[in-house]
Amino acid sequence: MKNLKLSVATWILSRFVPASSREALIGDLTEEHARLTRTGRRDAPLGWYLRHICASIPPLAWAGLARATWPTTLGVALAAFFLTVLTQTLIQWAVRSLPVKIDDSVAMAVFFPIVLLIGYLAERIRRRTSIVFGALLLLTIAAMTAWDWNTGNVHIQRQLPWYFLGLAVIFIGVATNRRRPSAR
Amino acid sequence: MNKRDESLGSVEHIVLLAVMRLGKDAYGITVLREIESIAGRNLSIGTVYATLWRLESKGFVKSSPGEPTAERGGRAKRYFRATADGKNAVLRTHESILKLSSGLKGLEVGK
Repeated sequence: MKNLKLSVATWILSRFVPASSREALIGDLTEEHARLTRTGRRDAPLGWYLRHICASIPPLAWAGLARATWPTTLGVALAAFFLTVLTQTLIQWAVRSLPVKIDDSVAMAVFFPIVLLIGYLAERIRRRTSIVFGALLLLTIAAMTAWDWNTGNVHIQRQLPWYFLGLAVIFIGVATNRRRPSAR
Repeated sequence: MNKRDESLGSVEHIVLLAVMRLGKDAYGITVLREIESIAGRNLSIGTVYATLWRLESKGFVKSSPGEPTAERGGRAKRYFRATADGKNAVLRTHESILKLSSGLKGLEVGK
């Protein structure tokens, strides 16, 4: 099958088929195309092939959406993110309520391990979640840095540990995945 | 599996019957040919595969890799066979169709 139209159409269709079934589905199309070419019956084999590719994209795209796991991963990552925001709010409230003034680094020493624990638990619930969660933390802190930069009030020494926290959460996700025996 | 997952949609019903008819020779394109020739329904190969994946996720069919052939460009087949749950689902669907159609003039099976 060296026809350029067939190759392009097949490549487009294969984007909608999971890797595990790609070989079988494309093989089936190739087999029928070869049979139609050999027998010379029915419509032109090229027309049959292209018609099937066009008609196959909507059901395959829909099946792909139904199978997708990313909404759950994003949901767990967002839940972890909001839990982190809630934890930070509670710690700030607790620090302000104390009769003595406590340094920011002490609050961070309490808060950061909790965030790492949240990242680890999110990863246990769903694979690759802590990578998304860490990316959300990094995006948030990058947005805060950009905002501070615009207002000319940058506190990079205060924000730098947050970047490390985001990276550490991602590292936890990668390390947990590697230790899983079923990791592929 | 919840109640909704136990039921068969009309395309699922047809595809599962075609898989059962074909037995050991059931794979994507043979299922499509069977449906076209016996039921006269024109489905796309994508619809057949999407339905087979749905049936597999419901536990109504099982798939296994087959042998690659030259006319397939060296690509392997994926064979499908109906499971006991799949056969039960077909039976249940037939029973409910029979019950619903019984007593309706002109719709009794075999008349």
